Amino acid sequence: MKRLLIFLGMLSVLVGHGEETQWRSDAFAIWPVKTDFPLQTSVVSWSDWLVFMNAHSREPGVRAIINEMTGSGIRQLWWRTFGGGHCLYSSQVDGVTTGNYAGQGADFSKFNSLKEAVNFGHKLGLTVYAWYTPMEEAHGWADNVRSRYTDMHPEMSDIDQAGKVLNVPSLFYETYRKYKLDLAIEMLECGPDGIVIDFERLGAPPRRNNWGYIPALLEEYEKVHGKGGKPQPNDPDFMRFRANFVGMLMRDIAAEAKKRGKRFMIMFPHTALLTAHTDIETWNKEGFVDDFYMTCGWPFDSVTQELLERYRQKLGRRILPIQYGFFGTVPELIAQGQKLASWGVEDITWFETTYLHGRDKYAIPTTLACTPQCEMVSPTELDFSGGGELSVYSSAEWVLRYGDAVLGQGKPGQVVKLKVPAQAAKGRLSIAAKLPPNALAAGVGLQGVAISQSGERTNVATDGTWTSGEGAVKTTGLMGIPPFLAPLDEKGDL
Amino acid sequence: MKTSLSVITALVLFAGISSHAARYRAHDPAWRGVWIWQRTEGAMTAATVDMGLYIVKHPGAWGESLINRMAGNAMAAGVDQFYVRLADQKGHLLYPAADDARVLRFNNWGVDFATYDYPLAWMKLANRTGVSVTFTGSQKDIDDFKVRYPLAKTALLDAEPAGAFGPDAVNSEEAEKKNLVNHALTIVRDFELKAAPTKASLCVTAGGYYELYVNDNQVGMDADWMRGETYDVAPLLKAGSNRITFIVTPEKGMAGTEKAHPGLLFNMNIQVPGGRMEFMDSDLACRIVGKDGQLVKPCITGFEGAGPRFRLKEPFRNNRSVLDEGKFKELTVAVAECDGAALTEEAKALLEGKASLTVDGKKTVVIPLAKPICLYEVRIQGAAAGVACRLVELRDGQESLVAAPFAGREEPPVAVTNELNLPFTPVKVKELRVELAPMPGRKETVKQIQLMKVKED
Repeated sequence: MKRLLIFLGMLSVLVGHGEETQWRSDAFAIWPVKTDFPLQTSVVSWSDWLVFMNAHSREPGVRAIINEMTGSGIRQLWWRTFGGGHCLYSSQVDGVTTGNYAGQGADFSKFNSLKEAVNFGHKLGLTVYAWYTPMEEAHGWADNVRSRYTDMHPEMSDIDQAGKVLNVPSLFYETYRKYKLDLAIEMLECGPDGIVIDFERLGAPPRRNNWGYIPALLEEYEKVHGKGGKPQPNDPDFMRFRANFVGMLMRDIAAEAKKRGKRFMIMFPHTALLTAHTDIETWNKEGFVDDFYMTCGWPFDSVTQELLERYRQKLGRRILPIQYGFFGTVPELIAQGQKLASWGVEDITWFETTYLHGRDKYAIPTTLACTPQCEMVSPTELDFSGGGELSVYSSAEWVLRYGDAVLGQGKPGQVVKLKVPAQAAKGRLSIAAKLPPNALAAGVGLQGVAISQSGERTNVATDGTWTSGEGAVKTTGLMGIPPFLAPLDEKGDL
Repeated sequence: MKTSLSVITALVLFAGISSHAARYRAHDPAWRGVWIWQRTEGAMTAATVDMGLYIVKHPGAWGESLINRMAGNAMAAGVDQFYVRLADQKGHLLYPAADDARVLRFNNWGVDFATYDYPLAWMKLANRTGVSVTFTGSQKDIDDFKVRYPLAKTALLDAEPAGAFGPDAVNSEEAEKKNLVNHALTIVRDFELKAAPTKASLCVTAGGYYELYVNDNQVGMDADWMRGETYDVAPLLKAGSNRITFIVTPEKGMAGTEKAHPGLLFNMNIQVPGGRMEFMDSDLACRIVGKDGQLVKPCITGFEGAGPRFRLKEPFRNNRSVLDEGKFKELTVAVAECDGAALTEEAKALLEGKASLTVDGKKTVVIPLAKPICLYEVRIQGAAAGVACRLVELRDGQESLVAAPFAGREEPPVAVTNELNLPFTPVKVKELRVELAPMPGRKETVKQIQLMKVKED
């Protein structure tokens, strides 16, 4: 044992001249994700991170959010594109209002956060969807993050049953639908894997069944259905008729998505399949929706399960539940996730990352998704006959081997730089690692160089091509970004 | 009175406002006024700042948001002196330094202190709010820094006050207990009017609960700090001396708040006969009535939007609507509004954005206006690297500093940017002089100078 420690001590001497001072862009944190557990998704409202967290801003802000999220085993994200009536990326669509918090130095018109999220998410192997809330022109209350489109187009205002002009445009109008479609197209052009349309968020004031009493709409309804006057708000025919104007937009967005090979999803509240704004059964029959997500209450219980089953039977397809609210301890929430898995749910969506981050609840998806310990092996044999240099950082305890020889070991949160002595034979690197209890992230990152006897240098780095018997090895982050921020410069640790 | 205005500017620029027909940027223009409150005796008013340490401890923050969050939280606790370190604890430089190898960067993360000009952002903040910013470092680092920012205030690390907050963040809620008084305050603003106004509106909000009086007449009250109120105060103002009084009581658990945040914030637009507008904001010109009736100076505790603590809701804006590009153009001073006979071709081209003015050494651009115009912002576009600027007014041939953004500053700030916006409390000018001076050894190309005006009724 003593000899081993001396050997390890010799190996752990910091390399000198020529050492790398930055993590390379091909060095990823990796970890096996359980293959028998559902996919985990989280939505990201960047504006919330900006305001309530660490003033996350521009590329460093976006990358820190996504890296942190990925580190916990979440593999799919919905990136928020609108906060109420304010666009959260640098939209070029005429009529759009872009978010701008002057005192916070956050001008959303100057940065395409969606594109950055897509590019960075894809680099980590994530599926990234644009999360679009087309029914909102304000959020929470009428004057909060209100769009200017609303003010500039009173001629398209919706009208309620009592004849009140609501100062919110109606999708009855083709011009307004075209504006909303242009935004969706612009989002799709940013390269996401698809788009999720949110019908949980209906604006402020929220669009209700007693909306849509626009004289021209009523006239059209009378022409089609022969019913004059003012139909009742909950008249199914009248609801379906009004929802069809929203449906026109949905079909157009879905067609644009399909054209680009992207997925089209709809998220709806569990309260009803048919409203004046949504006609889930019809849209389902038409077949243009790739997946339906249903917002449920909290916690998931027998009522949720019954609802899911009822809608599953009614629509003849899977319905993915979304929890709304984030209450309970880490063990309770882990138990909820396990319960969903036991129901056969294939995609657990967390609302949202700010809650996971703010309460250190990343332990929930990490525990659910990631194996507690693992051994990961490099994809090819490496030639260290002339020695080499390696840097390792992990959120777990780890031991690095080359064949049977131990090259080094480390504790969570420490950078270890190794000088690898010349090895007689080619071999694979392997990392055995074990997460501490309630780990907030799972990952081991390694980079360095293998030097052959002839002096040929081969870059070595952990990435998704490594394998493990415990699960599917995934990139759980890019090194050099929190939670895998570990500077390699000459001064070592933080 | 002959009023002319001179903006002396040394620059760096670039940019170009894209002009689409109808896109809107929320909260533009930014609104006016700072939060004010009273400090306790013996308060700690200084904070040291190590941005390298901050972004490691608070990952994700970057750009102007980082500055505003750090400063906003510190100011909320009564801090008004910032000692900003040029290097982190390991000697990495925290600005776009000539010694590029020493600049702090985390490549994969996108953190690169060579790509964002933090000294500029700090100085813009200082201009906007009146806080003091001193850059600290070793003598060698200061010497190098001065090449790029010759007019910036600097000091050796030893000069940082003992016991100052920082260097990564100020726990404002904790610090404000020590630094800010926690009892009701009477805050007054005295001013003179030559004539009774034809219009006057006052927007106000306060941490806790406020009562507003204009010349001893009660006007209104409210307890929700997140939303401001706008009052028509014209009938209560008169020719001669006027006093606006706010009685502010810090209370907890009022509507819309989880807890009260001490502070008062207002801005006021006054139109006098003849159409002239006058503007008055909450700032250091306000006074707090002390126990013995003596008037004491307040301290600045924040500015709108500097973190969750001062994020106001929509209704509390300037009396200017959100601008689309068309409206934005309407508020940009056009060539036709200048004194054509005195306007040079060069100045005309700059106003129209058709210039490509190479500046090598100091260069002054004179913009004479056909009649006095009330300006609220100067925007300079171009491609360049360094700018020193100050705003002065010429009165009777004598230069003097005018109101915000540079009022009360001993020396002009220096900045480096690719786009320069200089917002200030609106002031009427007859002639604008823009003096451009790139950093030593640099040539700069200026493409456009935009003067933004207040649209008067």
